[in-house]
Amino acid sequence: MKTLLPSMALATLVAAALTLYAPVAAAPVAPASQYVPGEVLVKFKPASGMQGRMASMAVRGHAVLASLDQPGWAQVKVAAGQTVATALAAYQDDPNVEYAQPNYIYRAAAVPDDTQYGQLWAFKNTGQAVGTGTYAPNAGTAGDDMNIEPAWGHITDCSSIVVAVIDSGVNYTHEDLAANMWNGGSGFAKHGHDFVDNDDDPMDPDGHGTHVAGIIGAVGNNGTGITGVCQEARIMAVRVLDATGNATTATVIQGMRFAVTNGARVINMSFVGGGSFDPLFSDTITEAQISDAVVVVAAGNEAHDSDAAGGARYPCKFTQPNLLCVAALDQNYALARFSSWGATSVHVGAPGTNILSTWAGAEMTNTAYNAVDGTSMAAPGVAGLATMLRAFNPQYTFVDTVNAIKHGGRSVPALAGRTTTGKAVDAMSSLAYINPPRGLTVTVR
Amino acid sequence: MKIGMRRLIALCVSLAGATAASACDAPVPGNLCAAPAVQARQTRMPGEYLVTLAARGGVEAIVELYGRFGIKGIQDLGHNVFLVSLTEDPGPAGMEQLRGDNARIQAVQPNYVYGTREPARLPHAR
Repeated sequence: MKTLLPSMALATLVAAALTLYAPVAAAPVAPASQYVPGEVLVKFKPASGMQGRMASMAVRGHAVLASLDQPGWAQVKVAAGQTVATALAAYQDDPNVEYAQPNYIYRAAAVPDDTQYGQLWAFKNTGQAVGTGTYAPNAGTAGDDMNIEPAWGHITDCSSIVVAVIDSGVNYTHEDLAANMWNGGSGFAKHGHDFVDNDDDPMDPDGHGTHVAGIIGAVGNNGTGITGVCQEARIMAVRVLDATGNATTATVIQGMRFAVTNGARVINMSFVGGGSFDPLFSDTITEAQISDAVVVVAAGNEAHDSDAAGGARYPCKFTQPNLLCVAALDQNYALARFSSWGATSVHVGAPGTNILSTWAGAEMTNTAYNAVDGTSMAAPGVAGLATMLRAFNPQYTFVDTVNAIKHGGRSVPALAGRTTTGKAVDAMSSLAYINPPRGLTVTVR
Repeated sequence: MKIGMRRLIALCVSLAGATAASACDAPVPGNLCAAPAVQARQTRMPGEYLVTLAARGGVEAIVELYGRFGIKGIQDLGHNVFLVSLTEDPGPAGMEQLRGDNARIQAVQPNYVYGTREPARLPHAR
């Protein structure tokens, strides 16, 4: 027999359930630096009355700091020694309270002081030309960028998340990377592993992987060179590409398993293979999915439709839900001439021309930078964003992270019909994206 | 890899090498001794295959089945997967056909090639 509860009670039940998944609930597990300690904001129900409100606070040892302009809202000081999380939990069952949340801290958009920051159009496109860039156009449209400066107002430190660069290695002694390399302890003192030479020194003799690493996590705000999407990071170097820029299934699956086994929750792979389905590679991406790792890959630089007959390119074409395949955009947010696309296989676009980043190679120095083009450069922008999202939301699964990137993007005409979302990544919008609640059950009796 | 396994593989490789010379003397279903296909762009490593052993399969199963092509090396990649390098390349179809319903070998596939293929090396380059 079913009995309907009064609609008010049902609404309260739903609201309470939703509150569990709303930003309010997420905040207590977010870093404490993101909200004011010792304070919460409480919205009382209209019917609670002044006496009821005072009683609700008094019983918890709380006191009003200020009444806010919004009706029913109060800025509340919590009891001495009480955490914000505890205070919020205490209000959850209070019949006088409609809503309670942390008093979040908002900071002015943070512009890092890195000397070549002005060249990083992907982060802040002012229409500038990139000094050493050779792709035309080499000056674009102001605002066509990843919208990352507002995001940096909330988070610049992604070092709680290990991000693996599976590539040609990383110049881990570079001035703009050394401080952001993964600490592999005594077992992996050089920050990763080399599956080409089969040793524990993943130094980059090429430059490609070092460039990718810099886009994800070059040290930011250090008065030197550039910054990555993450100004502080933990970059794991995994070398699978040989001196000619080629990897094989054998090196890739070993590299991926190393990354996942050692805690990587975001993996970047900026390389592409031929049109044959590779079962072992696919299985390894599934293993990464089971371990809750996001895998970001490049669409390829062959300027073709990956969905066309015979056009499939792997790993982009794999269909695991933890996989994000990225096309390259130029400085006007047109699809780069070399970029491949695919309405069912490529998910988002990101800046991929005239991208300045850290470098290595034969002329190895620890102060080299280079501007190059490719979907190889677009993918790490997204991997960096995935790392940032997971650092900001420690409870995020790969599903939440991929959702936030796909749905938080900005619609771009050049990507319509050429990607699954038609969107370019947008750091701030992805950070602000609220994932829909999962596991929510409402019982009507 | 443990020393014992290394010795076993070395022994297997030696035995396989000895049989390699006669690998193509007898007719084999599927023309397994045909020359490797020449591809415009290399998408797999010629003569290299990834063999996944079944739970009860041992590395000797690889040698017994594919030793006729001359085994240059076997590398244990973990998870029961072995990278097998052959002197002669029967091609993916030939490898799969020979595997057939062999209960000790779960799967065999080419060792595919992946690359960065930078735009500067392509016709659409700047």
